[in-house]
Amino acid sequence: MRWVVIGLAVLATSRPGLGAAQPQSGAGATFDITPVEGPSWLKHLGLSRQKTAMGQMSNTGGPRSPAGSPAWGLSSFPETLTRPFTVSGADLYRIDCQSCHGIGGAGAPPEIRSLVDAVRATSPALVREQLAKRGVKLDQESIRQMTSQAEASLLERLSKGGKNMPPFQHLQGREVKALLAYLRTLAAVPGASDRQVQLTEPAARVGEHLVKGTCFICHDATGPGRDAITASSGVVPSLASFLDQEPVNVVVHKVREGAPAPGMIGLRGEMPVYSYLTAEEVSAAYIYLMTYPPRR
Amino acid sequence: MKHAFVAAILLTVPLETALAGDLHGKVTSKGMADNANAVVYVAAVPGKSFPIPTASAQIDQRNMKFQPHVLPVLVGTTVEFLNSDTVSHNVFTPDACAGKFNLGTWAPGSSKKPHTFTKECAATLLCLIHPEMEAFVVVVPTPYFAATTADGAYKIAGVPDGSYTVKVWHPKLKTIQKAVTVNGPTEVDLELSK
Repeated sequence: MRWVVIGLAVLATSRPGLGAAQPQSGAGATFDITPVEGPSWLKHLGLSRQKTAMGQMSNTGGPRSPAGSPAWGLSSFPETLTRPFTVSGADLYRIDCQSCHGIGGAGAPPEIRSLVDAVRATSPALVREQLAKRGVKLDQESIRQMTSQAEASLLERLSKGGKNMPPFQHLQGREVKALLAYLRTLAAVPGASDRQVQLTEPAARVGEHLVKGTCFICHDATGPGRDAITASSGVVPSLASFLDQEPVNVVVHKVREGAPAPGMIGLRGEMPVYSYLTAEEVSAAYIYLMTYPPRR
Repeated sequence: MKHAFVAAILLTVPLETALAGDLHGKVTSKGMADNANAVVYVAAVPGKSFPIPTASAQIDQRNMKFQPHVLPVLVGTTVEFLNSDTVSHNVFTPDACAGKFNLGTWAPGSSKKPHTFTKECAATLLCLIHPEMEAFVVVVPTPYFAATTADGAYKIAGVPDGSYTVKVWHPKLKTIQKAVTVNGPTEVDLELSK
């Protein structure tokens, strides 16, 4: 447990403004990190966890770390406090989008539609190809207009959300570009894999992505934590409660491997296992929650 | 005098009913799964033009399909496009006769998007996001038109008596035309092939 204490000590000295103060955050970019607030996205929609695939697409593919593997190193937690993350569009997709849209973007139809279609519609090359298959010829300018309009619609949907999709207002310009570049590889846009973008981001920012894009689908920002009563009544503990109740290594273990951490007593519970997240990323979520405390 | 009066009635009644009739029959679409979606229409009524319809027609997008798949309308008709699906859709046409319009992408349940079809045209409608979706607005020059049902049946009500060119359009088959004389209820069967 000592490393946790060290970690928290580092964290305590670096507050406030850990996120915004990163010196190496790439091209002088700062990040407008905001706390997570209010009831979970599912509560917002009035949906029960049993009736949705949202947030639960973690077992639809992707590498799975072997059970009980010490995939997260003891030394990594303090380091993540001072060392910025290198984040690709693929990483952003994984921590912001994958828990609903699945590893390949196909979603869980009919509830969660494929995002691949909407991305394909932004590619002049693919649209031209689709039209040619029908024997339809359309001039370049018309195609370009349509695809740029499709891109604007896609980006608007990303930032404003939809009927069931949360708004991803926390994503900033360069992040959106990096994400879109990755989405184009999912849609098999020609040449997309050569145009990937890497960003440098502080841990708290990475944590914000993970919390807002994944955890917050089911977990309220504030409210009851885990106790004998809530555990048996299926109440999902709040994000804020982790900080009081669970050390970071327990949270990391729970998120990535499902089972309670070694030496801890408890049940597996209903939470999906997110083995595609790294220990550093889950630690970053913990850091984010500490530095930007959840609000009601 | 009384005889003449009766004769006048006898003459008048059949004349009145014979001025127009339903043009009906069946269209066989050879090689197709069913006989639906052919559009039968009167190509012109000599000396007559038709006012722009005040009522709009509609095409919905529901269950990832344009509904109806084929919509015949009179020149000048405004068609409203709806999205009753759970996902965003787009509507565009690559056809110049319909002005290559693109209504953009819009979210489920949001307001209707209108487009007025001002020229004769068989406009292919596509959704940029869902390439498998397709529909046709068949813009014809007279209000005497009908689309066939799955059994190929069609019925065009109130066609004035006279001789016309009747055309039949189909999304996948060759358009045909046939000289037809309408004299009261008139039955005409037609056949389409590749």
